[in-house]
Amino acid sequence: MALNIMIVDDSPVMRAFIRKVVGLTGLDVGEYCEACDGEDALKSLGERWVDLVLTDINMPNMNGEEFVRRMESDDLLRSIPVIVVSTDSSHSRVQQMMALGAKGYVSKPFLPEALRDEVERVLGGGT
Amino acid sequence: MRQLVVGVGDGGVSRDPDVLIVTYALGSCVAVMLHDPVARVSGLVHYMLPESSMSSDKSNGRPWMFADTGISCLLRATLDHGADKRRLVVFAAGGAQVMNDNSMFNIGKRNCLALRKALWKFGLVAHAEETGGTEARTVRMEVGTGRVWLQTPGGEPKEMNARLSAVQRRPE
Amino acid sequence: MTELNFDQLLSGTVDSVLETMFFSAAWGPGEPETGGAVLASRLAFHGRPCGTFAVCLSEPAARLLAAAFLGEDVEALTDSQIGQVVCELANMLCGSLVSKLESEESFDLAPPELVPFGSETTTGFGAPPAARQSFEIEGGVLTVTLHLEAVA
Repeated sequence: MALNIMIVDDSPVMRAFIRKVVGLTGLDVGEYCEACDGEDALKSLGERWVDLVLTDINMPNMNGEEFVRRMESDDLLRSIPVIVVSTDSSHSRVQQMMALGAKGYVSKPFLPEALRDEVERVLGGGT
Repeated sequence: MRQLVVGVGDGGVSRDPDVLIVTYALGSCVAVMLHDPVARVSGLVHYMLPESSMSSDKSNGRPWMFADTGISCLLRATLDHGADKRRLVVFAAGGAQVMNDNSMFNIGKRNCLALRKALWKFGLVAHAEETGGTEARTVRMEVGTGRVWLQTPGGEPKEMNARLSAVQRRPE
Repeated sequence: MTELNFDQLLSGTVDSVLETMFFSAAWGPGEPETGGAVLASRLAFHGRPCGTFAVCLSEPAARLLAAAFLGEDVEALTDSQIGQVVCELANMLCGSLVSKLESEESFDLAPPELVPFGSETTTGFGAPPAARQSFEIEGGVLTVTLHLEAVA
């Protein structure tokens, strides 16, 4: 069954990079949905179902922390797995995002295969 | 098994299950190997230099000599032989730092970077990789099975184990 | 931290970011650009410490990095994409560096912006940069500058 993937990052080129990495997994992707910040992402999530969200933290309007918090507080959205992809690799931030409900965390810069492996792990196919 | 020897700056693809593709003396050079386990197609390129822009004359005459044009040629030839890009298993070996090359233009390291750049451009990632270090390497690839063995001077052949993605591990 | 540590952190960060996501490398010290076709990006960071971070690189180098990052041919790139990649480079270098300066506490990065060459190192801090280095890369030179806000 095809999966719908949402990529949330204020950088269009970073969204393109992540999209290409997801392509490396060989997953059958039905639709890529892109958003430039948490607010944009929540609006899109109100209009379509996605199977995985990959989100940055530092974004204007609504940052990744608030976005994940809002997803977790929604009965429907909390079941969607979230992977954080961020330059912030501080211990406190990683712990904070995982406590808020994120299922995975990849720090920038990352090898494409590292994000690919995390996507596979979170979706249940990885080792 | 019949041997198909790929020389420096060259490449080769086959569907013959009785063929063993071999390339020798990978120092700073890099060998990239592709295998489609369903179509049973295998190919290898042994490139010497990272970028074809380094010499437009040579790239026209010898595209296999460079990472960018060589990997492109290998991919195209493999697909022309019936492979499906989504099924490809990718191996890479070589890119050693040889002859005390500590210069900022370390060709081995540049070849390794060029490998990753080209694979990324073509939407591929290496499933098994033995690169860097200081030793020269020889690789052998069974066309029919896609099994690859790597050997260093004075060492025993060691099989390279491909770490497949979850999708590739699913039975056809 | 001593000036030497900042420089080492900076060059280590540049090596890591260029190799990991741009499939490129710094080939040694370079001479900073003095004019011509140059792209510059700057962003502010807030946490412990606070400051600004800037990158500046020659346009041919920016094109090559953008092509590598996006996995595209250089000829296929738009000016907008190249500018966005330069901003993302600044973002990643800054984030990676600040994470090393303070690995326990989180920080916030403002969105990076393209700025006119020469203004990327203008800050309100009045102090000289904590670190500035230029690196020779394929196509030209990359210069990175770190300013830290003085702690009261």
